[in-house]
This record gives sequence, C-alpha cells and structure tokens, in this order.
Amino acid sequence: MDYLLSFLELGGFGEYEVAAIEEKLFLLIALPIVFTIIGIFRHIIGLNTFRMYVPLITTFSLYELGYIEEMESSNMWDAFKYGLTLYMLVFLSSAILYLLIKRFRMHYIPKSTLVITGVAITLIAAIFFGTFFLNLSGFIHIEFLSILMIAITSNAFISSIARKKIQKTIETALITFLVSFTAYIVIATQFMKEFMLNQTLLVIILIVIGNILLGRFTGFRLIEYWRFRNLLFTDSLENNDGKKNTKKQKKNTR
Amino acid sequence: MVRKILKNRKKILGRNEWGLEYVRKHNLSKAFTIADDKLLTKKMLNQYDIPTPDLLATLRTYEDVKQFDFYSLPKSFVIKPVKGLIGSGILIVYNKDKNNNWIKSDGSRVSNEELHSHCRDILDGKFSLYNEPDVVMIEERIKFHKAFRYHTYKGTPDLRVIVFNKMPVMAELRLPTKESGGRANMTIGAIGAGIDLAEGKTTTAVKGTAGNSGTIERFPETNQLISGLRIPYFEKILKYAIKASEITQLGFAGIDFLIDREKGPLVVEVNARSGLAIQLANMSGLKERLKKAEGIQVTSTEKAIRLAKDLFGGEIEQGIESLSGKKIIGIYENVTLKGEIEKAIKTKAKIDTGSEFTLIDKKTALKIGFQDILEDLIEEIPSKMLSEKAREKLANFLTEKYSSKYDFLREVKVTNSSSGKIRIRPLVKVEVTLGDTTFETRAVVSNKNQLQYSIIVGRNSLKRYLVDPNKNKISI
Repeated sequence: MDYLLSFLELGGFGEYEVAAIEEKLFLLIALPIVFTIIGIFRHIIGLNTFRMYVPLITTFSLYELGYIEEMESSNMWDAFKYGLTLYMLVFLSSAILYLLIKRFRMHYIPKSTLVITGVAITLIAAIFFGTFFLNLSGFIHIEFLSILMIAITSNAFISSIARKKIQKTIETALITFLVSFTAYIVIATQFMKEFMLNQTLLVIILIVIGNILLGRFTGFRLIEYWRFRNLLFTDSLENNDGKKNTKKQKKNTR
Repeated sequence: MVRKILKNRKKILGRNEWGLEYVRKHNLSKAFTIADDKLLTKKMLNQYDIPTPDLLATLRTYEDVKQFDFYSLPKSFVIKPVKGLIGSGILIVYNKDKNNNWIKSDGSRVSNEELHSHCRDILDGKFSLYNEPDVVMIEERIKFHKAFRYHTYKGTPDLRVIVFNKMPVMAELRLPTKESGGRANMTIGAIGAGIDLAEGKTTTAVKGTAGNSGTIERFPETNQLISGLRIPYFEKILKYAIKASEITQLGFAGIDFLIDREKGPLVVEVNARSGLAIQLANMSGLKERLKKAEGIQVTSTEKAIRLAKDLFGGEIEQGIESLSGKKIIGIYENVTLKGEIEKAIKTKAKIDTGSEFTLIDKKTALKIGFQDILEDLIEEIPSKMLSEKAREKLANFLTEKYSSKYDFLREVKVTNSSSGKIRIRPLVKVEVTLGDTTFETRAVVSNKNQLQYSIIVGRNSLKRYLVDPNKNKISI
C-alpha cells in the first residue's frame, strides 16, 4: 500500500488528496472483511442476519456516523448511539406503517414506496426533534450511505414481516445490528486500519484463505451446541433405544 | 462427560455439514427444480401412481383469480403457492359461515375478497423464493385419520420421512396444537414426535425447533400420552417415500405425508432441504444413520425397508418378546449371584444352551458361602473306581445324608471324570439376577477351582429366556 501511495505522491498529488484516496482504499479492503464477518456469524456462531446487503450497508453507515473528519478516527460510542437510534426508528416506522396498509390491495413497489415515505417523514421529524430540542449533532452525519441504508433495511424489514412472523423479524433485525456493529468495531479501530493499509497484501491473502476454509467448514455452529444440548448430554443416543422410549398407549374411554 | 459429548457430537448433523455434504452433494439442481415446484412434483408422482391430494384448481393470471368462484369449491380446501417455501402462504379453509365468509383453522374469519387478495399476493411472488412470480394451486383439504383423534387440535398431523440413498432413515409425526393455531408447523408451536421405524410407533416428542423445552410426554389439549401411537399404513408410507425420492431424483429428501381418513397416505410435499429438528423429536442423531445408510447398495424397496428397520428401529426384540413371553439375552451377560451369605457378587456369565445344568466354579462357590458342604464332600470321595450302579447308590446316599444338614442342597451328583477319578459335586440353590429379573435356580459346583467364566448358565435356568448369539456383539 505504501508503494502505491508514494507512487501517487510522486505523480503530483497533494497530501490531502493522498489521504482521501487512502480512505477510499481502506473502505474497499474493508468490504470483504465485513462480508467475512457476516459469514463467520452465520457458519461458525450460527446467528442469521438479513441477507448480504443489509448488514453490509449498516456497517458502513455506522462507520460514516462515527467518523470524525478532523482526526481521521472514529468515535464508536457516537456511532452506536446514532446508528442504533436510526436503525430502530427505521424498523419501528416501517413495521407500523406496513402493518397499517397491509390490508389494502396494491402493487408491491408503490406499497413499499408509501412505507418509505412514512419512514422519511419520521426521520425528518426525529432529526428536527433531536437537533433542536435535544441538541444532538450526530444526525448531521447522515449522508448518502445512510440514506441507502434506510431504504434497504426498510425494504428488508417489511419483506420479512410479510413472509414470517413479526417476532422472527425482530430477532433477525437485532442480530443484524449486532453483527453490523461487530464488523464496524473490527474495521474502525486504529490498529486494524493501520494493519489493513500497511499489510494490504497479507490481509487479502488472509481473507482469501479464511473464506476458502469457512466455505468448507462442516463443524457445528455454536448455537447448535445449545440447540442440540438434550441430544449431546443424553446417555442413550444409540439407535436401538426404541425399547426404552416407546410407551404403551392406553385405550381412551373418554 | 466430555467424552460422552464428543461421542454424541459425531452422531448429530449440524447445519453446515447438512448443507455442504448432504443437500448440495446428493440433490442435483434438476431435483431442486422438481421439488420446489409443487405442481410438477404432483404430476410426476401421479405418473408413477403415488397418491397426492386432489388438485381442485390452478390459477395462473390475475384474470383467473378475478373470475374464480370460491363458492364453487367443496366447503373446505387449501390454497397454496406452487413455489412457496416451507409452508408460507398456505391458507387452509375449513368451512363457510352464515355470512358467506370463510373459516380458517384457528377459527378466524376471512372474507371472499381477502381470499382473492391472497391469491394475487401469491401470483406477485410474495411467498416464493427470490420473490419471483408464482402460480396458485387449490387442493382438497385432508380430513385426519381417526387414529390421531386424541393427538391433534383441529388440524391434520403430517408425517415426514427422511430418505437417503433410497433408504428411509428417520421419521417424525407433526401434531398441530392450539398454540400452533391448528397448523402442523413446528416453528409456531406444533409438536414433533419421533417414530420408531421398526414398529411404526411414536417414541419421544418435543415442541418447537429450537430445542428449548425438554421432551413432552402428553398432548396438551387432550392429556393423552404421545408415545406409543401406531401410525396407520406405515409400511405403505415407507414404500411411497422411497419411490418419491427416486422419482424426483433427490438423494437426500424429506417426504411429507398426510393420512386421509378414507384414502390412506398421500404425498403432500417433497423437500430438498429438509430441516434438522427431526433429530430432537427422535432424540437420535441423523449423521450416524446417514453414514450407515451411505454404504449400502439398495436393490429393492422391500430390502431397503427391512434394512432400515434393522438398523434404525429398536422394537423388533420387543415384538418377539411379547409373542413368546421370553426375554432375549446374548451369549455373555452380566449377572449377580447370591448364595448362602448376604453378600452377592457381580460377575460375567456365559450362556450355554448345550449345558444341562448351570455350573459355577469352586472359587465362586466359596465366595458365596458354600465352603462347608464342599469341605464335607471332599471327605466322601472314594479311593477306588465305582461301577455305574455303585455311583448311583453313592449319589443317593450322599444326597440323603447332606440335604437335611444343608437346606440349599438339592442333590449330590457322582460322576466319572475323563481322567478316571470320581467327581462328587453338589447341586445347590442359588439366586441369579439376569437383566432386570431375579430368580432362584440350581447350580452344580464344578470340581475346578476357576473356570474361564465364574458361572455358566445352563438349560435348567434358561426357561424364561431366548438366546440370541448376535445380541451384545454390536454394543461391545
């Protein structure tokens, strides 16, 4: 990475521009790392998020929200505060609005547009409220990426509510935020940032090897140790145990 | 403890391995296409004479939906998305009410307009994989078989058989409960009961798929025992399951059945991605069974079913036992032996149907309190050879002499040994515990101090047993 940057410097780019390019390169390398973390959560831990784009864009929105321009570092607590608030606002407004208009017969795209309109209004009100009355400045950092995040997560939420139970949707939404925040912490620490920029080639090699291994992983997910605990701790997991298990059915005279 | 967990761990199938080694490896993409399309599956199964629920109507366009008259259908029916995933989008209608609204399984009402709306949603792809446009299919509603009347709440129980390499490996019965709203869906509260493949009866049961609760004993709404319920048409179900997996070319399949009151078993769905909660319902690991089934060359359906029952069923022994009233034991069994003293000894016995009497060696006899009689009898050994008649006379004499002294003594045996000496051996009363039964029997005390097995159980003690030389071989 250093070679690349010094190459740019030689080409006449100023310090400021080089730093900006460095930032972009960092984000590009962060991309597969975030995907890897999502994969680890799914296949090793056993927690399922909404599919790919939602956790990805949530992670980068968190990054955006926590970024401090002047210091080129990240304020994770801010990111958490604003990120979670934004995420929850989007979820609540999407869910409530969708459940309200569920009954009406409409094509899917205009229907979800209505929901998004409601979400946008909710957020405008929230920003107003937050900045004016509560003196919170974090919402100033809502940029392009956060807008995308709002749209994508809103659609994912209502699609999930439509197909599955609302309880399952809440579960998945919380897990997605957890995974996104974990991924955010991983990429936003000073140590990681420097490591990614200084040892880029090594990082790429590790990502490739790691994902090849992850892709062939056939072990238990951590959640499964919990899910199958009755089976793991039982003494009689032999198949010829039907004798013990089958009881006599009494004739019902009710 | 840790070893037990590791040992059990190897028998259970986890999601990672499930996806990589079984679903993707043994199910070709062509098979997925068939299994994911319920209409195509139905057509193919019917071609090979496998019964499925009657198809009442197919709606492919908005116009079809608009023009369709639900009142022309029989009073109960089921609306399904053809490409729907695991039960989503299925609407079961039980009856019409006075206001011409439709009644669902949980008792709630839907209007005719809502049915139309639901069909339109299906066409829009709301319930299909990747939200692609779909087709509506309307089937007859299956009325549950009366065998299940005490084990279901409003809905119909369904039966899933996992077939691998053309062999049935595991089965479960899913029972709708009040909690699940009359649906046989375990993720919303239905009960899953494991089935013993040999007997076709239910064994253990759980509620839900997350392994949260322990096993359930009784069905909540009727308080009936869940275990021991016999599945009607079980042989047929296994046969159809194997055939269905062959027809759809799924190497690893979950075949779902509904059992109709009149028509018997019907294949209602074929799953290429059957889940793992079945292991919890059966309290048994799937991986172990799959590994056993993998190496087998299946030549016929009948053979596959027989093998499956042998390998994965536990009830064959019980069947024979209840027929003859005898318990089945192997050639080597652990027994507890009690003689004249309070202390009993635990030892390994050899079961020998070739031996007329049960035999114990001298060392064991001394351990359980027979030293007095043995000492006495040593004195009685004659110095010279005796004829058969003389031996008999001596035996009677000794029996009379000592049986009043020792009340455990039944008889004294006097025989010629192969080396030419006279053997005098007492036949004593002992108490034997074999398995979970304790009984009194007679044992001859051998001349030998120590035999390979402290006790050899002979025919006189085996009246209540059947000996299976293959028993215990696998578990050791």
